Amino acid sequence: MGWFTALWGGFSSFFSIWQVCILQISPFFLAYLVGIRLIDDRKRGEWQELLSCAAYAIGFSVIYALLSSRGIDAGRVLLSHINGLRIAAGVVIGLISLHLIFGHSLSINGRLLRSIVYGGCALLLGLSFAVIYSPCVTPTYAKILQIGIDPQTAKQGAFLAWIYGLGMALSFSFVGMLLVLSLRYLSEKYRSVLRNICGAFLGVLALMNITGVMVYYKAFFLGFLV
Amino acid sequence: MKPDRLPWIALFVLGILTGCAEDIEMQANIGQPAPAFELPLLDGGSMTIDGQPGNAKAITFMSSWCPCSNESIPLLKQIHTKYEQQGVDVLMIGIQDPESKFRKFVTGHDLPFPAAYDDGDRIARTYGINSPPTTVFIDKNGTLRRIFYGNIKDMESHVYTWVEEIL
Repeated sequence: MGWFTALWGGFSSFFSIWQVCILQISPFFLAYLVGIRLIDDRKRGEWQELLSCAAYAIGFSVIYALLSSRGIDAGRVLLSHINGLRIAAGVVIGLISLHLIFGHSLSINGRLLRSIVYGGCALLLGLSFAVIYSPCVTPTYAKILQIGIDPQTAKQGAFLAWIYGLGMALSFSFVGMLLVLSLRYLSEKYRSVLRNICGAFLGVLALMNITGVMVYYKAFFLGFLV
Repeated sequence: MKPDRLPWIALFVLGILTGCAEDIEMQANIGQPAPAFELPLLDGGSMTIDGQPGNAKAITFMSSWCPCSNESIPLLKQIHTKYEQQGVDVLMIGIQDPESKFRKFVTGHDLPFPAAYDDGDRIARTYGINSPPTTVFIDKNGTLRRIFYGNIKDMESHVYTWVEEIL
């Protein structure tokens, strides 16, 4: 399998029946991106959201690749600790949700500092989402997993899974940036309300992962759609 | 409470919570004895894998909410019908699902082969399974021959060969 096939497989899954599975994380990423757009009222370009998308893609794809490669020791170790990691991810997502709700009262001055804070949050969010996500196995991803389980081809499998994860993150970012651009037309009076809703939305995801209720979300909400 | 204490409190809570989570090592290696386990079946009795000689096994791990889990059931039924007399046990294990939901799923599909529920995905994790559906093939010697991630319906032409391999 070539890298472009893997990239397209990840990207196109967002716009296919596989979105049913991706619903585990996709609405929450969109909520995050919208939330950080609304965290301050300054008129500015969308560079901050683009940076967040890039940082998210890096975090998500790296962990996704490792978790997809049973032939690599790091992948097996991550998988062994997945329950603890999911709780940790829930706590991280919870802190990010608080940042969305209360972050507007913190004054982060300077473009560089803001870049570090928002980029760091997005990176952590990407790492966390890769941990909490239980992917449905698309035909392309199935082939990647077969490559990844053989110790002799595990590194190739990890590379392809990384590209596949990047493809997924790219589709998230594409849709997310469209949403962000549409916020230009949002009335000022609704901005803080929408930001708080986005923060609360992430808070719910955090609680579901900390308490183990995520399995019910998958079973009843996603099962309802299947 | 001072705001600068929040990160430390968060770290403390994180440590407590993650410390409570159970770590389960992935033990599955192709060509090695299949990791042993025993699970109660939904309709009574139990399912045992002990790495010892016996019937060959095709075990599929699935979830009620996963679309390709649903799609692969007719093929599993065909495999069961064709190979039951030749000593192949088809088994289903529910993962990443509430038990009640998985029970309904099993009942709704009127399975001719046994099903069990893997509470907390403990068995799945010993096999390195993080996503449904995944099917493992164990031969008559108790050796793990293959792990296939994904919808076996997409590999219909190969699945019968894989079953023949474990006979």
